[in-house]
Amino acid sequence: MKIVVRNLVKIFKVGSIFSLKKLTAVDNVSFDILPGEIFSLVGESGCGKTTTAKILLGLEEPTAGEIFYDETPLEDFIRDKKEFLKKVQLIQQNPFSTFNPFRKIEDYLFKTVLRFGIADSREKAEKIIDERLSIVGMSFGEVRDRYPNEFSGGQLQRISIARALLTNPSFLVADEPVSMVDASLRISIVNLFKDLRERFGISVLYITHDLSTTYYVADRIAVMFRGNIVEMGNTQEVLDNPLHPYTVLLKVSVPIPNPETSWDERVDLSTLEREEYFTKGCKFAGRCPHVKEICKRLQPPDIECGGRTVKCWLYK
Amino acid sequence: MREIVTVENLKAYYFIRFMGNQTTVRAVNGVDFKVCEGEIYGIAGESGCGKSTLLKVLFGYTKPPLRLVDGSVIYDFDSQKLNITAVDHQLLRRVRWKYISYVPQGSMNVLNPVRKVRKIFMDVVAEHTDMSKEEAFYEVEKYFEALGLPLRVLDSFPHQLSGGMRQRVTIALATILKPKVILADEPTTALDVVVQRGVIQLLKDIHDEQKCTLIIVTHDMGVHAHLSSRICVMYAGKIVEEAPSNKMFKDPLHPYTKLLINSLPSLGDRRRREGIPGAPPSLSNLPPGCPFHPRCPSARSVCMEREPALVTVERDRRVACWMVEG
Amino acid sequence: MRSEAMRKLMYSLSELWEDPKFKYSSIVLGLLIFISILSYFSPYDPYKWYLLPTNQPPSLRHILGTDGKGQDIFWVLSFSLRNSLMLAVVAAVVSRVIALLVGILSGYLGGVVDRLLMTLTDTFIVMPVFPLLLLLSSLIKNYLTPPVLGLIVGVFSWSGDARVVRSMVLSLREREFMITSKFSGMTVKEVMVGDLIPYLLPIISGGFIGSMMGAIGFEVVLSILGFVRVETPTLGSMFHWMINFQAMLLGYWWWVLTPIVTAILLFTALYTLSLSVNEYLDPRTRVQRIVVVK
Repeated sequence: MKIVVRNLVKIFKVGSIFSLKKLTAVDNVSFDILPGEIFSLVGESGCGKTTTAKILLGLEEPTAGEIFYDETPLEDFIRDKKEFLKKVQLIQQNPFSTFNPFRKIEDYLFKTVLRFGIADSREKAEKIIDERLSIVGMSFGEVRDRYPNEFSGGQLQRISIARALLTNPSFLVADEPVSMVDASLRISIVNLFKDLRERFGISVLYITHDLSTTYYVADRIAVMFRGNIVEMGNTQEVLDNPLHPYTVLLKVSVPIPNPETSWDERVDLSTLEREEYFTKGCKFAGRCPHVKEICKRLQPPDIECGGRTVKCWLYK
Repeated sequence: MREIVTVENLKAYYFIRFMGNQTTVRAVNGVDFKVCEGEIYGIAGESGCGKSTLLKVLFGYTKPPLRLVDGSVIYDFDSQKLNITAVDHQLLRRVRWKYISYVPQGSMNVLNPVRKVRKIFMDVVAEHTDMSKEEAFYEVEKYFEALGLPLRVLDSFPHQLSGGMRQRVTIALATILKPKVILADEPTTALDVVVQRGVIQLLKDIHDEQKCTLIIVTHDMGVHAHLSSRICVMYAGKIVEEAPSNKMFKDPLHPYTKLLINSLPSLGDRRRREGIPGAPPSLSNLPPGCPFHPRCPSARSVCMEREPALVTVERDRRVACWMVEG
Repeated sequence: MRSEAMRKLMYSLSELWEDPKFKYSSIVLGLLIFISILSYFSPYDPYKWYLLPTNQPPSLRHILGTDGKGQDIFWVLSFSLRNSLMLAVVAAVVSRVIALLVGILSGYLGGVVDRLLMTLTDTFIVMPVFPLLLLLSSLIKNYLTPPVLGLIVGVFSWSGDARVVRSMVLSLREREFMITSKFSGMTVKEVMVGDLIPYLLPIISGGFIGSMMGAIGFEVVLSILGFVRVETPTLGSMFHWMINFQAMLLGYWWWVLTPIVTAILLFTALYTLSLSVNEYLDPRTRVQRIVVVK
């Protein structure tokens, strides 16, 4: 499934009655996700990646912009809720709050199969569930009659992925799927995404703040900062040789598990992130080591540079 | 180097009675180590290995259902020795914050939401020292400047600050009285990458300035690589390997450490990696013999029968594995 | 699976039994309910007066004596308890059900439905129930049997908890598992029953006993003032007749003490029951119950 996003904008109104401000969480964002591609949206908290995902899933209304699922606009596609949810599925960040502790895990699995018409009887449904669970390295027997609190975070996340696969979706949105999973289990879950892409040709939107797993698994990457995409392109190219100063900062700040490396420079953190949303020019100007006068006044345009898109005056 | 913390054969379990079933969770199951004054000692391991519980016991924080079953934790503060596990409440109160302080997991949420940051600091300083209000005021501001934290943070409420700033405020709070030993539980988890770097930087600054001892617990090996000088890896309530950090990363000896380090993706390398199959054992239902044997690629029959002891294989390295000794 | 639930229930009850409050309340309530059940075996018709010699002190034949209407006080008590308890349960059930329905619909559906229901709720919150009941009773006194009275009290006591349920639903609506339910294709009904109700039950059941107490209280007051059919034996009617016949002045202590002691026992038992059950359900106090074993 091909997803096209053009000029997406989402504005939230924040503050009290006396001082209402507009917070632009998603500021004119455009990108494509090709069929069978793992596309990564990377950024720190508050950059707008989760909001973008929510809009794509129909959980939030965009303020402006267009989204197309295989040529069909989102508003039309989502009208048939059942068809939409069959094709577009979600894996959430926190495996412990993905499932209601009062429900049995199999409840979610059976309902997904039966309500979307994948099977019409419990016996047939059980077979399909078992098969999907085996893809993630589990079996129905392990899950039968059990409640969420009987499983570890890694297991729950795998069950969550299996559940999302039950409807044979064409598009998976994975919102920070491994950030709450132990380091040694991360790679097996991330490998799963690779396998899914190879076996089923599913397009994946992989949202994360962890550059290492992105480098490992994503085909293309878009780096977001305070609502803008500041750099977008082939993952290896962007992360091996980052152009935008923010991408450079991100890459350099990743703590590499190698004690011989260390950070040469000190980093300066902003205290109240909200301020950066409301600046007039480039939002990174306050922290950028290469800041120029024009950066403070005008927001840079998206510039094509070496097969990538960079939002920075340095590359004009 | 003087040994400031000595832990011997520490065992701490959770005793839980729920719905008629009695379970014993062996969170810390026989741990021995020593920390030298002025070093940064890292405790690594995955969730459920007992490292957070270990830190709680080091702080003397054993409340039911957690109970100390065996062993001791002895602090050697030059002038006196202190067995934190056998100390009465009064003495514990005097020692905490001034000599030993603790930065809990998820510190971002431990600040009182209805008090301004300045007040929170003043409370701590006033409680543990005899300073007057003006003196305390001055001390707090001076400390903030020394750490490079903006002064306007002092006049904000915690919810007005970002997660990273709250974390740094909590660390400042834990260190303002210049304690000798700082215990930090997952200080960088749930923080953004750049903020994480700032927190690591802050911890390093405090360590360099105050010449204190740091014990850091985190599952993030990257953080250990940048902070810890010596690391121990915990698995199922026990230490399985202990080594200086550069040796640990270059040449891990225990199969678990090897698999763990190899399963970490790193920038610049897209080669396929494999995770560790299986899952960590339940601490209430440990397998016989070596707790790692169900997942270990080099397991042999002796591993399933007898538990390997933590032995010194080189001058500064210890490993608990039958394959390494023999 | 059923046996699993039974086992858990049995275990919870045995844990509750360790709490002296629960012991007291269940023994007292058990006794009172037993007496009310005995009413089905009463040798006397409670609506017939002057069957027995009047104002007799307690004896072996009439363990609580007889009153000025020529009735055996013990058997009148049994009917009174039965009617009062039934009224209380009806009121509690009616108010809980309405509170749940209004709260869930309002919180989950939002929008116009929410605003309509909340306006309705607020109207009921500010309504002075007591004067309204007085008015109603003067109009339809003859139809105010205990179940009807219970129904009316129930209809006026759901509004507070409806708001509480609504706020809980509003917060639950944002939880991640609600999104999972949506993506699993669950219908609105399945979501309400499977996801919301388990969280709402503790809140609702907390108010159940309070509702009961309120209903009994109303009934007693209305009866003493004579605004309901006092021929029907209820706890309140016992007070009414006792006062009316000036039993206190005449020194008929057995007639005076019976309703007073019963009322005290009933209210304290209900109150301590609600305290102990709420304490048991509260997750914060659960930790304290975890016993350290040697």
